[in-house]
Amino acid sequence: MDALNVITDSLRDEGGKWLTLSDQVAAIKVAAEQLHLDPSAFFIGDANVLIHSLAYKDFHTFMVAILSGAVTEFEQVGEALRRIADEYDRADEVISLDLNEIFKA
Amino acid sequence: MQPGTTDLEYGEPFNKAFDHIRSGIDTAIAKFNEIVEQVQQWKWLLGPAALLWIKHSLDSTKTALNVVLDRVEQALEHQLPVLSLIHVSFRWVNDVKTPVSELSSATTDPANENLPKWTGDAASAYNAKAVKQKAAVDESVVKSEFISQWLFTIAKANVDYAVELAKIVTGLVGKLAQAASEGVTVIDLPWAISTLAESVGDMVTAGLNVLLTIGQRFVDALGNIRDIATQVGDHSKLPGGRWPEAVRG
Repeated sequence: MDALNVITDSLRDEGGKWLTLSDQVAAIKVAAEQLHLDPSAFFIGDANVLIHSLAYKDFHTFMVAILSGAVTEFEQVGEALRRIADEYDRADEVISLDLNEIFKA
Repeated sequence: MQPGTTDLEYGEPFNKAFDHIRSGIDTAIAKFNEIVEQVQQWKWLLGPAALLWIKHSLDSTKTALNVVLDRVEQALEHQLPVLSLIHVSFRWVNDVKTPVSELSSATTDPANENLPKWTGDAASAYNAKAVKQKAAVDESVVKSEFISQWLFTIAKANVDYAVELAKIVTGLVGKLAQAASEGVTVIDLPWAISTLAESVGDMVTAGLNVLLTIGQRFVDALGNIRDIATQVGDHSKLPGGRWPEAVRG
């Protein structure tokens, strides 16, 4: 196996790693989405629960948004690595690439 | 507070307290009615003054009982929803924090040991991006841990409240049962009921104060809202409150 193939193979493996990570974080995001709580869930006694409930809601929304971002980014990193491998194969060498082009979805 | 991996640690004492509350409150009402029946039974022997005295004592006992009943009803309505909060606090750990933390090292560990042979601009750019992605993963772990701890604090206040309410109910049953058994003769009845009214009143007042303190702890968890705002607003690893973009678009 020549030097170029060693590199493109490892780039494709690395890309596959990110696609797997994307799937894994997608499953976690689905689990996190289910963690909503009604205002009545905050206290069994006599207390104002509205602010607690709103604070939780904000945090929950934020976490789900963050995890959704991870799903997208991981997938795009995986695709970018595969694009790089394809470019190297096409040029038959490790060429200098326009990074703005490569790291763009 | 070190939570276990299951919610038994909180769920079990919580539900057990409710079992005590449910059975206790039924007994309390039964005992109270028993005492009222005893009064009815001896009414003809008791003079108007004694009857008035008894009526006054019974009324204040009933008032105390009703105060506790209100708390019990409110608590019963929230038992299941609060149980869901306990579940959710553990799920933040088990379903989010732990699985996300398992992804952390994978972000920067190469899938293929030959990857370091890849050098140059593109390789450095990729490595820098991978490091930022790892930081964001680790930050998500910190945030899931934070929210679960926040919910645990609230869960703990709820468990303590239920346990204290169960104690009040149990104490109430004890006092009522004592009065019912001591007041079986017409001689002892007025005295037993008067003692009952006094001790029940003191006990309920003390118990409500404890409930108030626990309620304050729940309200104090609001102070952590500032922590929450800090968590959501800390953008050092999640720029703009979003996942760091490794790839534009």
